[in-house]
Amino acid sequence: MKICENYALLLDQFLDGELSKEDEALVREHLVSCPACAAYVADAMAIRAAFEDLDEIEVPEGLSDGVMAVIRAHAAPRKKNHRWMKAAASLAACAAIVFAAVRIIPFGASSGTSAASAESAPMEARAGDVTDGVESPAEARQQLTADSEMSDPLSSSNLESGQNSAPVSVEPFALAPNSAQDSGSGEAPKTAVGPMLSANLNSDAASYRKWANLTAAAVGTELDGYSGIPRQDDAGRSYTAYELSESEFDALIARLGAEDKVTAYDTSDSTLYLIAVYP
Amino acid sequence: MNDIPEQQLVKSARSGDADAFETLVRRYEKRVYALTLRMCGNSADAQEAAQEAFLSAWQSLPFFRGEASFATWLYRLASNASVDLLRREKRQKAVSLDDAELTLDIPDSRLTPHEEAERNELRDAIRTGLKSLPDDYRAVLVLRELHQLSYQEISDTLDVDVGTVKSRINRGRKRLCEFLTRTGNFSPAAPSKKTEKEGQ
Repeated sequence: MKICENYALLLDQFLDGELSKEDEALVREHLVSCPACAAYVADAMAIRAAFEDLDEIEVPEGLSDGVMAVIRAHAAPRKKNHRWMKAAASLAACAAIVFAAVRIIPFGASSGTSAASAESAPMEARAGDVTDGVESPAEARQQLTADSEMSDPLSSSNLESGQNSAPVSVEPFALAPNSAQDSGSGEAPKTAVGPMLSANLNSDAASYRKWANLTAAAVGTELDGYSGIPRQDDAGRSYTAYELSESEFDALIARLGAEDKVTAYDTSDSTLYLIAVYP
Repeated sequence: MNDIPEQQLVKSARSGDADAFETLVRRYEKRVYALTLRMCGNSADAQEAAQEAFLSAWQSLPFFRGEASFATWLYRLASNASVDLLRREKRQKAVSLDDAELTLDIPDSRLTPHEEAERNELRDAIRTGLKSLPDDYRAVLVLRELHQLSYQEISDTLDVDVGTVKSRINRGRKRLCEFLTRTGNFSPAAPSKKTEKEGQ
């Protein structure tokens, strides 16, 4: 039985209390004479009555603890694609610290990351202290490395069943195709600031001297070879952040003729310049 | 910390106060998890998406300008994290239809055992039906029915206009009703007056 087309949207607004009093009266009147529309409203009301309440939802233990453990371990997300979160979620909060700690190992392993290496040392020790079930940072990393293969159903099932897969070549925390991880074998990132990304974890707009929002189309291949980090802006839109030096930033903006896209934070002490590239 | 107004907590968290952020996380964990649970359809993915949303919030807080409410902004991150996860893992279609972990048998004292059984059956069917809907339709229905957001709030959360919210709610609800009719939870409606007339 079909509902009346001219009432289709009104019926939902009626159900959801989104109509004016006059329109509400109009719909009420219609419902008396139209069994099809009345049946739709009745069904929708039944769905509402049976829909679970927020109170009935049980939050898994350790959800907040896991989040805060990661944040407090200074391994807050620089990268949106936390493949490791699945594993972290299934472990207790202390285990989350382990994952947070080993997350930065790849930074320490790359060249030119003395700051990150220094930061990782105490964290590894801490991971060793609290680990239960993951015996060493190396083993935890191995587990993480396996986690990076979650798109492979086989690896996924291995992880979920608690088995450690053999280490694989994919680096779990590579920032970008041209990340510092490639520095040993391939072309190093063009920017010297790339490896410092982890040190600027909580940077905000004031952490940059200048900021420019550009589209990927406008940027073209100009930033190829630079390390970028996926982020989300205030409106929840994804963008890739590229931290550049002043000369790189100015040269790029000049090449693109994008001076009007630049916001300058003159009060900032920072020497970093940011290009936000939107898809 | 629990009595501190949300705005103050957000301000402190923006400047890096992890304790303030923790209070916000604990205040919102149920609502965020409820959204990701319904979006993802299973507890493990929901937990992952919820944690991603909170971590993303921590990371993005410095850029939060307060144009939308903090709740709306957080729901948006949660919704995005869920959709990202579903896309990434392409699990949506692989979700088992009889996912036992979704069953919540919480007795409602106002209902007779028979009514309660019926309600639970319908509730399970609704969950299954929701899973079968496109992400966009599922998101609006969950935000409307579970979080009880207004159309304007849903529009702010999902960054779509109110007209789109209206049409997604209408289509989503219609599809859900059709699903529940197909699965025998709703009786097929009696023939309309027009059909009766044609049949005579």
